Amino acid sequence: MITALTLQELDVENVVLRGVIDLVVFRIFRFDPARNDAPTFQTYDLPDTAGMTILDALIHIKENMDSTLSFRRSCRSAICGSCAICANGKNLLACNTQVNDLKKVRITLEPLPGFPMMRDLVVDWEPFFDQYRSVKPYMVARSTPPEKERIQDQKTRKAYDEAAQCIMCSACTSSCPVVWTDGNYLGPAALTKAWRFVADDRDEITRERLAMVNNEEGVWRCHTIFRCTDSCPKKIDTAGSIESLRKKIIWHQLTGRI
Amino acid sequence: MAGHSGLGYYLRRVLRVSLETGTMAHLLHRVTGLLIVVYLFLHIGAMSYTYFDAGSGFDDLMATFASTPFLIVDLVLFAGVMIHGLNGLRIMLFDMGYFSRRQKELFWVMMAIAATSVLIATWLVGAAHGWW
Amino acid sequence: MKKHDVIIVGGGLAGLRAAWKVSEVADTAVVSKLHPLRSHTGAAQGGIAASLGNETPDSWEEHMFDTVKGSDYLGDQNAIETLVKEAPKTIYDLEHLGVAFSRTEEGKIAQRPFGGHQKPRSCYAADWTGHTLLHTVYEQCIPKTIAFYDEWFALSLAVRDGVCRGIVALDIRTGEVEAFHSKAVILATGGYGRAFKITSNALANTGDGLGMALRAGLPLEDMEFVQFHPTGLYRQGILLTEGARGEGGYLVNGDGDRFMRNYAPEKMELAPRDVISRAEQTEIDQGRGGEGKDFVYLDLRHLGEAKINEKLPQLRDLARSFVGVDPVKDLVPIQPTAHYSMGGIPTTVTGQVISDEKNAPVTGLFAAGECACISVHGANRLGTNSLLDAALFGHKAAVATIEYLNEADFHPFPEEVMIEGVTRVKWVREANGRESAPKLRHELQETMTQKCGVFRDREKLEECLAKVKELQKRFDDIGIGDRSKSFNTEVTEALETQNMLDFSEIIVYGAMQREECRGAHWRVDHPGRDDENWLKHTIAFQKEDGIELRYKDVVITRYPPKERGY
Ligand SMILES: Cc1cc2nc3c(=O)[nH]c(=O)nc-3n(C[C@H](O)[C@H](O)[C@H](O)COP(=O)(O)OP(=O)(O)OC[C@H]3O[C@@H](n4cnc5c(N)ncnc54)[C@H](O)[C@@H]3O)c2cc1C
Ligand code: HEM
Ligand code: SF4
Ligand code: FES
Repeated sequence: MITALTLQELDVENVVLRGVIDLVVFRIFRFDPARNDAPTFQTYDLPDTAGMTILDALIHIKENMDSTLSFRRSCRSAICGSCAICANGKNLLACNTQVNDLKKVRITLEPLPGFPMMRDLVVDWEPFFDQYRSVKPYMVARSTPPEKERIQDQKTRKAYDEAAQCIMCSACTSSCPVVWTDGNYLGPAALTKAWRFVADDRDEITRERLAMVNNEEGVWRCHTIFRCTDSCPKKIDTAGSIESLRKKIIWHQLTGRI
Repeated sequence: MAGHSGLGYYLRRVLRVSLETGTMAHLLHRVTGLLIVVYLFLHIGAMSYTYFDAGSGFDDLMATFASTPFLIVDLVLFAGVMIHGLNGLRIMLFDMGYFSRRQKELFWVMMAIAATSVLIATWLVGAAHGWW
Repeated sequence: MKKHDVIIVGGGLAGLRAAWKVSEVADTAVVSKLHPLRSHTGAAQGGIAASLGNETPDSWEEHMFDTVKGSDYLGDQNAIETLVKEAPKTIYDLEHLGVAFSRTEEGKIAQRPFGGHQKPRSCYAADWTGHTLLHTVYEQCIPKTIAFYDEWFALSLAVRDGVCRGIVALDIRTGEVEAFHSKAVILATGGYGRAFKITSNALANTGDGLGMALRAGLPLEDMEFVQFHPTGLYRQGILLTEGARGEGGYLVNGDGDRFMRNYAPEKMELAPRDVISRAEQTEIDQGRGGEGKDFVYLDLRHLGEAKINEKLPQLRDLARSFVGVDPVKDLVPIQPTAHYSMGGIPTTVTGQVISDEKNAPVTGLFAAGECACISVHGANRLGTNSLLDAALFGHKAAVATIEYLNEADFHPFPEEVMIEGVTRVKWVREANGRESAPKLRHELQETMTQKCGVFRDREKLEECLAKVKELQKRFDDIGIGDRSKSFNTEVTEALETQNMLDFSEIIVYGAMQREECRGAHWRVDHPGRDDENWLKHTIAFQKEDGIELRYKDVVITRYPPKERGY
C-alpha cells in the first residue's frame, strides 16, 4: 500500500520498528474551548485499517488510544448525518468512507470548515440550521386536504426525489468557498431544501419560495463550483438544485407562470 | 471562535482544498479572469501611450510587440481567454439548466477545445513569424 | 431551572409527533441527546403499515389478524385494534404534512408486501421511509413554537408520590446539569439494540428512557422479547431492508439452497422475522453458512440493476460501502441482527405510563414509540408496524397529555433528583477507577448476543445474568480520561453504558423465567408455546434485593390464540 514517496512522509522509525508497512497515520484536529490552548493536531498510528471506515478508526482511537477525542456519530450507516468531517481537505461522512479507499497513509481529519468550532471534530451547527430554518423548510398547503391522500403523479414525485433524500449532514454547505467568505449566503443545503418544496406540487407557496431565494444571498450567490455536489454523501446534485431554481425563477419572471 | 469566515479564511482554506474538477475549474476561471483584466489595463495603457506619442514611436512599439517573447505572452493570454470563455460558456449552460450532472466531462471537453485552439494558434503564429 | 408545561424526551418520530400536537395548546420543549434529525427513526427503510388497499383490497380486520398472529398472541388486542383502525388516518395525515411517499400509477401512495402481512400494506418512500417521516414531522415542528434542547442528555425522571414533575438533563455542550420543571413528561427515547453486539441500531440507541424509568422505581414490561432481524449486514449488523425480500429477493445458504423451503414452505422469504432469523441461525449452527462461517446470503441478482436502483438504492450503497459487494452482481453476506425491542415502559392505550400490573397510572407521565410497551407488538413485531406505532401513539400520547393539562398544575420539583443527577455526572466525569467503560460495554454486548440471542436456554441465561451482575459491579470502578465539560462524549457514553447494564439484567432475568417459545423469545430447553402458563405479560421491577417479576393478563377480544404457522 505504501509507495516509496509516501514512506518519506511517515514516521519512519515506527515503520521500521514494527516491521509493518500498512500503517495509517491519522492527524486529528484537537481543540477544547474549556482550555485556553490554541487548536493543535495530534497524530495516531493505526496499523491495520483493512475494512475499517473512518468512523471505525475514530472509535478505535477513542476506545483504545485517547478517550478524550470527541466527535459526533450515531447511525453509522450514512443516514443520520452526524458524522460529516473534513478528511484530507474533502468533506465526507466518516461512517461510509473506507480508510483504505482514501489511498493515503497520512490522513488529516478536521472539523467541517466554515462553521464555528466546538470541540475537536465537533462543530457548532447553529448557523447551518439558521439557514435551513430561513427557507421555510416545511410544506405549506393551506387548502383543505382531501379525505384520503393527495394524488401526485410519479413524474412529479421523481422531480423532488433526490432533494428529499438530503440528510442535513452539512457537508455540502461546509465545502462551499462562497460560504467561507460570506456568512449570509444561504448555502447549498438550504437551497436544495427550497428546491425540494418548489418541485413538490403539493406545496402551495411556490411564488413565495422563489422570491425567498431570488436575491444576492440566494441562488445568485452561487459560483457553480460543484464542491457541494462532489461532497454530498447521498449523491445529490446540490449545485443542480440551485440551477433548477434559477431556471424556474427566470421562467417565472419571463412568463409570470410557475 | 472567530475566523471561520472572511477572505483570510477563504485563502487559508483554498490552499488546503482537495482539487476536484469543479474546484479546479473555478480557480482557473478566477485566475484567468484576473489575468485578462490585468492585460486589458496594460493594453489600454500601451495604446494610450502611442496616442500621446504619435510618430515613429508607434512603429517601434509594434515591432517590439511582434518579437518572440511578446508573442509567447500573447499566446498565454489567448489560452487564458479561451479557458475563461469556454468555461464561462460551461457555467452558462448550467445556469440554463443543462448538463449539471455532467459537469466534469463538460469541463474536460471545454479544456480540450481550448487546448486545440491554442495549438492551432501557436502553429499559425509560428508559421507567420518563421518559427518553423 | 427550566420550566415548560410539557417536556418531551426524545426527538424521533414518536417524540416529534407528540411535540407537534401538544404545542398547539401548551408550552412545549423537546429534550434530545441527538439533534432530532439524527434520530434513529431516519434509518427505517421498509415502510409504514396501513390497510389503505391501494394495491389490492385490504381491511383493518386483516391487518389486525396479521398483527395479532405476528405477536404470537401476546399483543393486547384492544391496543392492536386502535393501531390498525387509525392507521389509514395516520398515514393520510402524514401525507398531508408532506411525506414523500412513493406513488402508484394513479398517483396514490404505493404499497408493497412485507413479512407477516397477508396484503401489500407497507406504505413506503423507496427505502428511506423513516427518513422522510422524520424529516417531514421535524420540518412541520419548525413553524410551531417549540423549545428544542438539542444535544441535552436526559438523566432522570423527577417522580415523587406517583406524580411526574419533570426531568433532570445534562447539556452535552457545556457539561452543566439542569432541572426541567413541567406539568407533564412524554418519554420517547427509542430502542436499545446497542445492548447487543450485532445490531441494526444506531450507536445512540441505548435505551436511556428505560434506565430513567427504572431509576424512578417504575417497572418495565415484556423486556425478554427482542427482535432479531434476519438481514443484518455481516459483522456490522447494519440493516438491509426487508423490502429487499418484499421485492423478491432470495435467501440462500452456503450450498446455494433457498433454505426457507424447509422452514416456511408457503411464505418462504416473506415469513415473519423471528421465523427467518431462527432458520438462518439453524443453517449457520449446522455448518451450512456461507464459507462455513456465521452468515448466509441475500441474493438480489435476479432483480436486475434497474429495479435495484429504483426500489433499493440505499441497500446497494450500504452493501457497497460497508462490505464491498454489489448486490447487482454479488451475493450479500448477512446474519441475524438485534433490531427491535418489543418491551419497554408499560403504558395504556392512551400512552399513560402505568406503575404496576394493575394499571395504576403515574400521573403526568406518558410514553410512546419504541421505548414504550402498549403492547401492540406482543412477542414479535411485524415489520412496518413500529413506525406506525411511533407516529400514531406519539400523537395519542399528546392527546392524552393535552387532556391531562386541563386539570394539571406544576407540582414542586423534588430537589433530591437534581442532586442525584449532578452527583452522578460529577462522579462519572471524575471517575478514577481501573475499569474502562467501553470495555464493559463490549463485554455486555458480547454476552448478550452470545447468551441471550436468537436461541436461549437456562444454562446460557444463567451465565449471562451472572455476567451482567458482574459488569454492574465493575462499573462502580470505572475510570474516565476526559475531564472536560464541553462535548464530553466519554461521559455520556459511560452514562449510556450504565443504563444498558441496568435494563439488560431485566431482559435476561425475564427470559430466564419465561419457560416457553413465543415469538422472538425462543427457549431451546422449553420447546413450544405454553398458553396455559405463559399467555401473560411480564412486569419487572428492579428492587434493592434483585428483580421482582409480576405478571399481567393479555387482552384478548377478537382472535383467540391459535397455532402460528407460515
Ligand atoms: C435500521 C432500522 C430499520 C427500521 N425499519 C423500520 C421499518 O421499515 N418500518 C417500521 O415500522 N419500523 C422500522 N424500524 C423500527 C422503527 O424505526 C423504530 O421503532 C422507530 O423509529 C422508533 O421511533 P422512536 O421515536 O421511538 O425512537 P427514535 O427515533 O430512536 O428516537 C429516539 C430519540 O430519543 C432521544 N434520546 C434517547 N435517549 C435520550 C436521552 N438520554 N436524553 C435525551 N434524549 C434521548 C434520541 O436523541 C432520539 O431523538 C427500524 C429500525 C431500525 C433500527
Ligand atoms: C469570452 C467571453 C467571456 C465569458 C463567456 C465569460 C464568462 C464569465 C462568467 C460566466 C463568469 C462568472 C463565473 C462565476 O460565477 O464564478 C465570469 C467571471 C469573470 N470574468 Fe469573464 N467571461 C468572458 C470574458 C471575460 C473578459 C474579457 C474578462 C476580462 C476583461 C473577464 C473577466 C472576468 C472576471 C475577473 C470574473 C470574476 C471571476 C470569478 O468570479 O470567479 N471575463 N466570466
Ligand atoms: S445535500 Fe447532501 S451534502 Fe448537503 S446536507 Fe444534504 S446530504 Fe449533506
Ligand atoms: S453516523 Fe450517521 S451519517 Fe455517519
